Amino acid sequence: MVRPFVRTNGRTRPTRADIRLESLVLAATGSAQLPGPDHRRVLALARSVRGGLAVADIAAGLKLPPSTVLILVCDLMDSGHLGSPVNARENQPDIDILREVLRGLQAKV
Amino acid sequence: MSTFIEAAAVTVPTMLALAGGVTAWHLSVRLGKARDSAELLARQLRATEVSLGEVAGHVIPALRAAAVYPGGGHGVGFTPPLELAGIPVADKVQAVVASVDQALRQVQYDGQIATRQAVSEIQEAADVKAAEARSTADQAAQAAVRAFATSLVGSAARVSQQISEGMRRHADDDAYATLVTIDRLVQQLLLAAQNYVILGGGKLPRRWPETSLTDVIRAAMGHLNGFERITVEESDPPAVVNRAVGPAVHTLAVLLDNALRNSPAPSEVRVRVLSGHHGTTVQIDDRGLGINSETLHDARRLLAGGQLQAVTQLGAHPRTGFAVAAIHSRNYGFSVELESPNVYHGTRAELWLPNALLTTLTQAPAAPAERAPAASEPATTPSGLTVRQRPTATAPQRAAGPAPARPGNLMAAAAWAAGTRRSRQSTTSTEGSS
Repeated sequence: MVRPFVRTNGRTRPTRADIRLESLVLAATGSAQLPGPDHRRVLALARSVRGGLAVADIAAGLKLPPSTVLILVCDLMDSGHLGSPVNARENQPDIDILREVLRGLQAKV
Repeated sequence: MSTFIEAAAVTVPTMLALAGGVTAWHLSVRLGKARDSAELLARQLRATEVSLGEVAGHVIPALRAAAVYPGGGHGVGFTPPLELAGIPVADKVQAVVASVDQALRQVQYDGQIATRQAVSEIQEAADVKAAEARSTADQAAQAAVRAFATSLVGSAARVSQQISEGMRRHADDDAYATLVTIDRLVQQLLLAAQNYVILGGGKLPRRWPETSLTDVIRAAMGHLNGFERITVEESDPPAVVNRAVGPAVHTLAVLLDNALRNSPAPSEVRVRVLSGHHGTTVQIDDRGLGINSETLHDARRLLAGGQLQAVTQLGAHPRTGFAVAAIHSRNYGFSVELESPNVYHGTRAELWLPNALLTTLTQAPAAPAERAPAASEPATTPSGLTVRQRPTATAPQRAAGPAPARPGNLMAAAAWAAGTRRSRQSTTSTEGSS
């Protein structure tokens, strides 16, 4: 009954372009003040899982529109309550290895 | 002898003449008297004729004419001429005039009484008819407004539902922005239509589950243009019982709408929730000009149970808000109070909900609790792709905000799998089992 635009205080765009519905987010032990009840719900859900959750998953769990949750998640990342494991650049696979894998797959198909 | 005779001859005629003269004198005197009397009678007769002529020709027509106009006829009368003074005819004529006058007056009086009675009867009947007609017209207008507004609310609710579905389907930013714009307008339309449903004597169609007061306030905010100016102070309020949720949302929406309309654009409208022994109050403070004492007096009287106006008498630019709040207060047992000036010299509106309309939500934190096992489920059957992602769990090195993130672990990969698998259930299931 609470409209999605009220949950985002009228905003229709996420603050970060790099976070998508499939992006994985992790709860951080941020202690900064939380903006509102919906942010708290998102964070509570993220914390209840030992590990990361996709934004789409959080949306499904809270029964909210994915775009709304994306905006909330970006807010929480801005405030440091959520983090993205994808941001850990040095842990990303080397591009050459990926190319190698792709070549190998193509050769098999 | 001759002398005697002569004397006699002279005397006798003289005597005779004398006698005749005396007689003639007598006669002439008598005659004169008779002539005088005859003249008097003739004058009296003429005067009588003239008087009767006057009575017939002027006095009675004048009395009759005066009798036509209510209250007239005074000063019209008959004064007998001098010739008739002291004789019965004059009295008789005067008596005739007086009796005609009285008869006419009686007729006039009776006529007036009868007319007045008839007029008042007609007026009473007309008043009754007019009241009936007005009541019928009001009822018809009320019913028409109610029917129209109810159908409008139904349509707006269906559009709203479609928008909600669209928001779940389309994750695209532009599509979402467009849907939100439409949604906001539809919610505002919904509020306006709901106002007329209530003013038309109808009921709100939707039934809500019991809802926390925070969400009740936020649901109300969704109906308002410029709701971003509203700040709700953080608190842990009780929940509203299901039957009162709709009216509480609606009442808060009209009160917040008033606050937003009566305060300048950048200023804040502050909402506080205060719990007391007998119930909970939602306090709305704006920083506008305040409302004048006359409007305040009228609104307070209405909210305290004063006479409600028919929907037809609200005028071209009706102030529907307080009327709606008053109707809901009466029907559901909460109350609305106004105060102006408040601390900001604006207006304070308070919605008080008695304990009978409040409850505590037992399953409030249920959503995350329910969700937890679901998230861990995929850990038992990770697909090949997610296994590749395992090293990403070294989250501590990430440049985060003020606080360090709790280290991620293998579950992150499992969650990733859960997120992606849900969207392509069929392919993943065959892949993951192998």
